Amino acid sequence: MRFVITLKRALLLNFVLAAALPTCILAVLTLTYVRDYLLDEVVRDNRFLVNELKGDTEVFLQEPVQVLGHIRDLLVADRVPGVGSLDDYLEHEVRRSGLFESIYLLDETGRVAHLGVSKKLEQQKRDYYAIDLSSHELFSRPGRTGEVGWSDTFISVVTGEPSITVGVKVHDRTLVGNVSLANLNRIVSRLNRLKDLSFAIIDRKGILIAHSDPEMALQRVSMMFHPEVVRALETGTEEPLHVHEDSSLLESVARIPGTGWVVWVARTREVVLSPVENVQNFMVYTLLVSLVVGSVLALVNSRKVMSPMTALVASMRRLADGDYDVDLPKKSYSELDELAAGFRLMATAVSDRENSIVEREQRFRNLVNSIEGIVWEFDLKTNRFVFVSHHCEEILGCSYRQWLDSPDFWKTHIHPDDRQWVSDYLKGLSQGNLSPQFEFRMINSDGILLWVRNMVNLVYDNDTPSRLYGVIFDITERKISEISLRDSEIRFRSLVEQAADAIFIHDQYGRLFEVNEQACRSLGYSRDELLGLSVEDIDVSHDPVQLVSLWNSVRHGETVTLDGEHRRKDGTVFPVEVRLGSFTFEDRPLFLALARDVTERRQAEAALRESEERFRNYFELGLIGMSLRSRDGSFIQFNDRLCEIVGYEREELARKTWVDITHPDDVEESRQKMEQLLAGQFRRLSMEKRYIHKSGKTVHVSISAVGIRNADGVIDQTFAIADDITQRKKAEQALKESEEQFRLLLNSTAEGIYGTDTDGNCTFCNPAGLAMLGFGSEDDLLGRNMHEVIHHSTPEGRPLTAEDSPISIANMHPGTTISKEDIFWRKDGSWFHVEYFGHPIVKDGELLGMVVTFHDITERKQLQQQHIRTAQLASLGELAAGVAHEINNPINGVINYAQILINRLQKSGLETELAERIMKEGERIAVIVRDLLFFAREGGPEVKVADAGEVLSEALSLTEAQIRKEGILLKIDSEENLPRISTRAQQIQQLLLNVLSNSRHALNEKFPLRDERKIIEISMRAVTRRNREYVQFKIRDHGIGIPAALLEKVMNPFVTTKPAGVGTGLGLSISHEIVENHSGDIRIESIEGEWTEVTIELPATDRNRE
Amino acid sequence: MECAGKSRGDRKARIGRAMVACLATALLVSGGCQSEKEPIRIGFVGGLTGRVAGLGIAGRDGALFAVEEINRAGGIHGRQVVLSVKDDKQDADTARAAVRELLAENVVAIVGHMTSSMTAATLPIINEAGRVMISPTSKSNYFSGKDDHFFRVTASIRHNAEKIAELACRDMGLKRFAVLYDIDNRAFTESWVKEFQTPYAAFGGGIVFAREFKSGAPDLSFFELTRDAVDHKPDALLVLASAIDTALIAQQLQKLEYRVPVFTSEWSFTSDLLHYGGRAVEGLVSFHSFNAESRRPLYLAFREKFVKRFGYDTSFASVLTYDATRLLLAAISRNPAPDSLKTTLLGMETFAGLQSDIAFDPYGDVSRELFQTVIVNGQFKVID
Repeated sequence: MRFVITLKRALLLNFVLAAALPTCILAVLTLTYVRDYLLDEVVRDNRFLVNELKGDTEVFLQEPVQVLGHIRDLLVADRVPGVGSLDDYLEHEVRRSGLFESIYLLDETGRVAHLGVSKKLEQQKRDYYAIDLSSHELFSRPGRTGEVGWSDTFISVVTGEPSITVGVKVHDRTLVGNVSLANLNRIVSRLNRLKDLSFAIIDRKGILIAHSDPEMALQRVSMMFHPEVVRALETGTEEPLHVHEDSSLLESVARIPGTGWVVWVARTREVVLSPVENVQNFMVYTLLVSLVVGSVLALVNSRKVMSPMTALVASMRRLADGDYDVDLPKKSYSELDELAAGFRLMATAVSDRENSIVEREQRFRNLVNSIEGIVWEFDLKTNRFVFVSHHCEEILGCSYRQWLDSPDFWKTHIHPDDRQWVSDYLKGLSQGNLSPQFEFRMINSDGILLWVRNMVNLVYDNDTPSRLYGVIFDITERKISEISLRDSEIRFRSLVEQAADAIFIHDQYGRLFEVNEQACRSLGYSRDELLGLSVEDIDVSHDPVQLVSLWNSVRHGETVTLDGEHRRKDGTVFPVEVRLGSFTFEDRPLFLALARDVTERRQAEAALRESEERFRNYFELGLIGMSLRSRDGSFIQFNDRLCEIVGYEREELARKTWVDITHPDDVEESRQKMEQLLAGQFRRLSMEKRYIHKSGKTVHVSISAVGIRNADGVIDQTFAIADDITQRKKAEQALKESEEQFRLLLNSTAEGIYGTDTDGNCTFCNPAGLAMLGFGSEDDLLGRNMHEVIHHSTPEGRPLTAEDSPISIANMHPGTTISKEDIFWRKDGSWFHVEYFGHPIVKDGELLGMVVTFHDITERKQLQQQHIRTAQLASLGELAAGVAHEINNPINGVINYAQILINRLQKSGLETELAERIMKEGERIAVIVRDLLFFAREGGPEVKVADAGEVLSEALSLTEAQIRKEGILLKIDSEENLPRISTRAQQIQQLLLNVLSNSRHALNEKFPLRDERKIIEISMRAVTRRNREYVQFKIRDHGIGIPAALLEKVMNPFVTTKPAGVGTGLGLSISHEIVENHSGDIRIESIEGEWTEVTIELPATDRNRE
Repeated sequence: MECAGKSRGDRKARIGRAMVACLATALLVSGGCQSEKEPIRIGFVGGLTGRVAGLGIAGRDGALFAVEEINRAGGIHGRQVVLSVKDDKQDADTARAAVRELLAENVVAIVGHMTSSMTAATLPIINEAGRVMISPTSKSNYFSGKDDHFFRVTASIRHNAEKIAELACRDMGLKRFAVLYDIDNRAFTESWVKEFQTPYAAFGGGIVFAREFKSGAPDLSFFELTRDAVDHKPDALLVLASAIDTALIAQQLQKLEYRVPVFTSEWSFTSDLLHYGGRAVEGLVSFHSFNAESRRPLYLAFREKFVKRFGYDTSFASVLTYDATRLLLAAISRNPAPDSLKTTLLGMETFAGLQSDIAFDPYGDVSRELFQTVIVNGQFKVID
């Protein structure tokens, strides 16, 4: 914003300056003086304090030096007073002076040779003797005897607090005193009475020895960040004061001679200069008050002085606005009164001139407004309309004010399509190179389109275009009639031009007056060429006489359609259909001919005819029965083959409907389907049905029929083809019967039979096979891989690969039937032995699949095993008999000779004992031999009928003592009224003894000592096996059991679970033999570590027989 | 009438505007000096007095150096950094009080403590307040693997202890160790002994004598302590104590003329050890994450300026504290909000420390390279 100097502002500024300037000058002078004065004071004060502190410190330091000097003198003179050692003397001096924590004498190597400590350190005194302080700076610092040195501060080994040491050289030894800094801190803190002051004593490294805040000294704060301290330590200057303008402190330093230490005093600058600040603040506020008061006064005064002038200015403004009767102020200041009189004269003159101008303008306005158009004026400099006549309201429906006030009025009322060019046109006009009249569209206030003509005149001002004058006339009505005429013509022309037919207009002489585009295109002429021709040049199908006659016939308003041929420019001729009519134009008869090229239509008709011919040939060829039927089912047309199928003559069949020749059972279904076809529910009907041959036999046919729609789209006919399939039907029936038989065969056989495809997937399985494999329905197997279902692994769990499957084997040996013993798995996860035969299904040398027949051979397998064992036993029997015979005699000899020996010796002794042992062992051999002989012997003692209970009691009487001795409990459970058995009693006893012996052994092995679980349970009951009664003995013990692997072999000779020497391994095989001799059965079941149960079943004697 | 009313209203408005202008001027003049930005306040807490003060003072100076450096460079986004220093006096109660004072001062984060026992004492307060504490030298395993507000720029002691066990037992064949440890810094020393025992036993060594002591206790006699150890004829000594106490124990050992290798922890390896140990500490061995002979330019530049500023040489305490403070300031410059500073720290990429790069694991712990350091001719010497 530009600053304008006004009278008021000038006055105001002068007032303010007068009020504030003296105050400002006074303030600056006062502040400068006070500040200088205060700083001078501080200089004096600090200098004094530094010197005081320095003096105190020097005094403090002198005392320890004196004490050490005294000791040194004594050491040099070798005259240590008192009766005690040097240590006692040093201790005495420490405690007497109260200045030291300790005094020690370092020998030439730096070790503590003598030591005196304060009382509180007595306890640790021993720790410090003889320690190596060669690194101590006072020791390592070279010096002459008697020379005193002060250390920097360090943390005392003894107190853990900062301390300093003073050292004195005594020849090559060093006398060292640890000075407590507590005293020094006292000196410093004494000065603390002065507020806002900091004091410090600083060592050579800049670290605090003492400080007005003792904590800082204890924390060994480095003062090297104070520039004055750094300067004092680096240069050794003792200049007492430096004031740092940019520092917050006013510092003073002084060096203490002999130590290199620095004494430091500082004041906070802020505190020192606080009076100056106070004065400064006071001055500022005074200044502000002066300014405020001065401003207020200036404002009030200037307003009073200025008020007449302001009133004059306000009157002038109203006068300028046209209020010539305004009162000008009177009687204020004389200068202003004169000015007011002048303005009054001027107002009268201006008023007269203005009235005459207004009158002239009104005349001109009336003139303009009487013109039937909008008169306007446009200023090219301001780009605005400056005048618009009142006619604006009649033409556009808006007041001329709206036009003038809104700069966009003109543009917004021009039709949007014309806006741009009208604007450009006006610009061109202003450059003077366009016609001053032009027409365009406008939109009036009701949104109605108007056509206007604008007449424009360009006016120059000093050779520059300055204004445009113009008149706008409404030409809408004229324009609308022009446009509708033009549109009508365009519409008609385009109709003719775009017609698909060639249009020719000619006169009664055949001269062509008008042709359309299609006429030119179809004949290959240009429009001008064609207009130079006559009808005779084009029409080759009528001679001139015929043409004239034709034209005459249509002269009276009729229209005719005729076929003809037209010739193209290239001479080719094409067929046309011409529609001819006449009309009158300008009192002349004219003819209008519309010619349509019918070449394509003719071609299509020819093609249709050809197709029809082809179809008829095919119809009559007689490969298949064909018929065309009406809705009611009667034959419209049919071929010979259909006659042949049903055995009727043509004439006979023509009188029948399709229902008449259809088998009665198939009529209903055929009728339903035919109705659906006729109703259009499906496009094609396919079915198999039966016809009745004229001879009465049934003919199987395959029917395929389609509906045929008439011109209205309604199906009113059907076309059907019928193929005789009687032979095929018969073959199918035969096949079905054969399959039925085959299935009956499969279902009735006891062998399992299943079939697979080449992948081994099940295609069928007969009921016997399903039963053996444990499946309920064939569906459970169909489609499943048989190898994976029933042949996946061996009983031991080893997986079988696909190569082991029957179909794979068949693949490897094509064309041969395979047979194999194997195992199959049941659905429930158990398995069984099978023998299977795989028959490959081969067709045309290609393997299609396989049929596998199988049967369960579990029983056969068991029998086989039994036979093997029997044969084994028989051979062993023979061998045993031989061996027994050979041994029997010598062993009897041995026993006898042993008996002789015993008899001879007659008294107890080692020899007798040995002989008895020989006899005992010999007898044992004899028993084994006897067993073997029994094993070998066929038959045995005589068969007697005995009571099963008695047989058991006899056997038990032989072993009961042994059983009791071994602490085994016997539990016997016997059914009452047991049938009797025919036995060789001795053998049955042995059988039971063998079994009981095994039970005892098993129990004793498991429970070497007495145990309540040492039980043998014996039960006897009658059972029926294979329609025969048996007595069943069950002997069960809870001993060590038999390993599963051994269970099958225990019946074999020489198989035993007992240790060598305890059992022969013959017991059970003999038992087996005995049971077999009795036509009985023996079975052993056991779980290792749990229990063993032996079941013996012996045939009962027939009760009736008894 | 209307005209007159309006002109009176105008006059009032103008006078009002003038008054406002004057007041604004007055405020500008009197308040001009307060327009400086609010400083960022961080805390330092460590043992600055007493026998272990060597460690704390070096740490404080390291932190101070970092703060002075950043302030000279214009502060953090134009805000000066103020370091508020507190002394924990190596006493748990004092330490807790000090930390509470710092939290009351509303510090953004705290650098400290310098010993593990003090850290253990104040960590619950820190975690409760949700402020970050970053320790330069607290090495106890107790702080490892915990998701809390505690960070450190030094590795836990496990690696140090294992290294010494390996060197002593496997390489030097020392199978009988005597261990003396200061329970004034129990969290550190006991953890150290525990970490040492397992690998040492694994290499076939055995601790023949172990004795705890309390530094500065009135009845404590280093002579007797050392003599008791010597009586068990160990073939090496492990001392876990401050520099001064370690030096004094070494002195007693020399006095007793019992010459066996002495091993120590990082804690005691400050200039005080050399100062008080003299020849008695020659050959002392320790493993350090601080390399006294580092030639890294960053470190050399720091060392030169530090000596000039504080008048004494750098040590592991000053170097690690400088690293910790600089790392903290870098984090604050990214995010000065104390409550989310932890996340910012954990999200920081590897930071270039004076001697090695620093990268936090998700628990705010770091791992660092270790240097075998031996005292030779009164100097710390790094063995390659």
